Amino acid sequence: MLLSIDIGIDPVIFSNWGIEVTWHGLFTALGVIIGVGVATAFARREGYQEDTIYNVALCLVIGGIVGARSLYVIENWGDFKGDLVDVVRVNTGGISIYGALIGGTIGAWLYVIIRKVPNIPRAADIASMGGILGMAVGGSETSSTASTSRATRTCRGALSTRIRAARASSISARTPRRNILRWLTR
Amino acid sequence: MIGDIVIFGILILIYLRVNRAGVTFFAWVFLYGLLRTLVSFLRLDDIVFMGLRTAQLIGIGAMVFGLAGMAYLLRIPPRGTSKRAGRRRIQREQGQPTPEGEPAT
Repeated sequence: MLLSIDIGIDPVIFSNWGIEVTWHGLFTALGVIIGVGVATAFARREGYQEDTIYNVALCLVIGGIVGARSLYVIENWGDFKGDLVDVVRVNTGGISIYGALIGGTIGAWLYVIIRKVPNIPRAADIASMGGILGMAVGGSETSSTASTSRATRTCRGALSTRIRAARASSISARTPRRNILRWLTR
Repeated sequence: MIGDIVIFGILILIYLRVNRAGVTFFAWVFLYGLLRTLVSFLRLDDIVFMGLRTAQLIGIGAMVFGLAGMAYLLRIPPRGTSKRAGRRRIQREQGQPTPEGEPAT
């Protein structure tokens, strides 16, 4: 087939007690951690409290998982009509990146509205930057054709190391905003 | 992945240069919609409507939504949304002390 790429890497890292740990799952988790980490760094500089940041992130992640599965189920309803229990079996695979974005946005939006978090547009700006970087690491291929791009993930360890190093460095809250780019890219 | 990182770079530039809260978010909606619409031409998903795939239809909707949001935000006059004013407002509303030399307004 013209557009298929055969990659000789086993998608399962290891399997124990009936639980499979896959590369896809690992990088999805890594994407969440990096996305939340980057958004947290920006949010701190804007003056948001730590509790607020992590609560929004939690609602966003939960909303994202629910949305990702929900949209996949809607798109493939024919596969689920016979056995509705399959809908909650997320571990069997099948999520949609658009669903994750929509669900995550709704989850975070509900939290900031209910808890009256100040300056919601700025919070949305920050979440979007964390979100796109998280998607770069682990979310871009969460669809039925995920297997086509596993080879691109080999360079992602270097990226996560860089982000961790950036987070570990102590930057004053008063650093001028132009330095953010230098801080993120060094 | 490369497309996402390019979008991340563009978003950082917008975040640093456009002094209007919310524009970065709508730029993300627009740019990701554009990326997925283009990338989906290379994928083997089912065609559902007018030669387009589901992801492309959602992507086009996201592009329209993102553009409309950016146009709206850039048209309305700024209302104390500078970075420093925004940070002061967040600190005030969350009950944090404002830094010295930055009296709360």
